[in-house]
Amino acid sequence: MSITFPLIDASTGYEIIAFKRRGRWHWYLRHPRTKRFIRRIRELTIKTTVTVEYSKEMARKRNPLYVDLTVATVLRDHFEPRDLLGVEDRLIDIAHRELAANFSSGVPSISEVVGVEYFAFKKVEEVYPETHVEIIWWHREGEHASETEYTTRA
Amino acid sequence: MQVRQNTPQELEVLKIDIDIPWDIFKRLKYTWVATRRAILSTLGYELADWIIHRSQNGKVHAWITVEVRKPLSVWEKAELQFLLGDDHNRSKLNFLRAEKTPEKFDSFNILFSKKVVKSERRKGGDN
Repeated sequence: MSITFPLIDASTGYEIIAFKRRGRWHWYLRHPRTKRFIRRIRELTIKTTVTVEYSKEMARKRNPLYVDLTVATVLRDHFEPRDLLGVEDRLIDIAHRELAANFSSGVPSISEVVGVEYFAFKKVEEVYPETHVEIIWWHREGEHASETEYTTRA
Repeated sequence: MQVRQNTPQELEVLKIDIDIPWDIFKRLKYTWVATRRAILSTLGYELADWIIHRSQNGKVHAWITVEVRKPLSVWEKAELQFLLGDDHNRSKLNFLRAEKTPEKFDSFNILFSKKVVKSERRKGGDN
């Protein structure tokens, strides 16, 4: 059985394809134009990005705020396509949880889950259910910018 | 006889988000690549590879691999992406990131593999 998934490696634009052989899923990286196989994928990183754009107009007398938050984790060893959706949902939950913990409980409601990236290599050290959280934020009108990075569990 | 020295080349991948519909872009695809090659050549770089995909929302994502003599700084990456036709709003944010949090630039220089469709559950935050 062979299935091509419409997954794209976010760092190169190469295709990530998967097929099942002898009951196990195998993942490969392939050039989309030449169809040349580049290499086998043993570790896949999934990274979700959530942003908050609390503009000056929205904030009025409060502090305008811009936040980029990513939650990433690594899947390894014969993971299946169906694992991906479950993990993505879990990463979004963690992103909302971390926004509330780092800012305030109202911030997740003004946040936007903007997208998911797949990387055909280990981009972070954390293997699922451990996750890697990165946050950068700044006040739109001010000079202050800050960043933080830590590990948490799903 | 002039001996040409081989300078070791490195590859850098630049990510370009093009905010026009795929159906329009595909008619211009090869002209677009040729003009990117010309822009890079003017700036002293060489185009090594290009990959263009239709994005999930029907627009265009391009990955441009460039040969460079030394790794590009985050500011140079932000500039090159802008000059290669990256979406202006994305470029604006990339310049801000390059200025304020340069060490995190690569983490947030993103072309999504998949856009998340907002569901009611996610819209309101579910923490």
